[in-house]
Amino acid sequence: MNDIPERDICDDVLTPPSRPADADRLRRTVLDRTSRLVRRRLWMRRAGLGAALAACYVAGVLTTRFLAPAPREVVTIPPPAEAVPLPEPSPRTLPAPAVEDWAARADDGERAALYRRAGDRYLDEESDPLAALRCYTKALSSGAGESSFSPEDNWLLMAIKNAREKEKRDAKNDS
Amino acid sequence: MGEPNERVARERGLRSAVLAGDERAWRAWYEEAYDPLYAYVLWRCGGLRDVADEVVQETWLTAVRRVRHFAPEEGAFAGWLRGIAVNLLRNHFRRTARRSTRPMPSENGGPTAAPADDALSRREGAERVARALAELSERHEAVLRVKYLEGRGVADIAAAWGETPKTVESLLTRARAAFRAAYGTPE
Repeated sequence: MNDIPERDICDDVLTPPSRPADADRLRRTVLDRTSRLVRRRLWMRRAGLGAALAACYVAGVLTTRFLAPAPREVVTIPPPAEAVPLPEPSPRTLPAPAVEDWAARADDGERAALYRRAGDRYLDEESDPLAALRCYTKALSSGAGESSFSPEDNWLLMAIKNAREKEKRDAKNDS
Repeated sequence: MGEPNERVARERGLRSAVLAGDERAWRAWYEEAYDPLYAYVLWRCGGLRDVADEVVQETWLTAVRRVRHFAPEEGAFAGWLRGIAVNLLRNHFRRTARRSTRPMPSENGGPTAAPADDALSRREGAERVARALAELSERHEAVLRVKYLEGRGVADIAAAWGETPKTVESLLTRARAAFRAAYGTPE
């Protein structure tokens, strides 16, 4: 019989091994490697923040570019052209009633010619033989020697002259 | 109750600081946890220095990459680190076990004879301890750890765990028996 208590194997093999003398070298190496990863995390975070800010800026720029109203078109107004003097009214350009009105206010020397022109215009442009007849009659009444026939006379004027001639002849015969 | 809350608040703060890239916070955390982790890994390796160095290094690199997943309210940082180390050790010994089952060619072409070399035999002994520890349940491993690695007495463990000394003594006896069985020693 053995009085010495048997030593447990656990006490032998589970006793912690002594710390290696150069354990600090590994400690520093691992610290450096892990710290580098932490630092990288910081830079990644900053880079992420920077990228987010840049994205916001770009988004803002794009928004203002695409959503802002289009610039107003500049309309250049040309300087006013120099006033062109209106042509002097003339019997050639005025309408028949105006020429007739003009003839009524004209001097005696011009009146017969103006009525004649007003009559021509009534007949040719307005197709108004009655008005033309009125003007021709006034023209013949105003102008001396106008009753003589002319190749420029139109049918209405010739008919009036003819009638006036016949009237004169009849009156002479009667007297 | 005050102490765990304090610990949770502190470790939450450190985790947030590290996630924000605060190198000083990481350094403080590292310095605080390095020695206990190294001692634990070396113990779990049966004193195999090269394996302990490799596993400790890998544990810290994993920890710094995965610190976002560390939940202080679920356990202390030291325990989380130990969990990472245990996984790495398991993988390591699984790989070496696979290698050791393959017959190595000797000079005369047959399998190698049992190594007579002292260093080799020490290594084999250490690997045996490591494998035996790896086979234990979490609770058995924990009680052996606080008893042998941290050198705490039964009363101390009982107070820390909220158990009676008798319960702890009983647990310790069962843990030792489990270790002996895994190690291959007759009871």
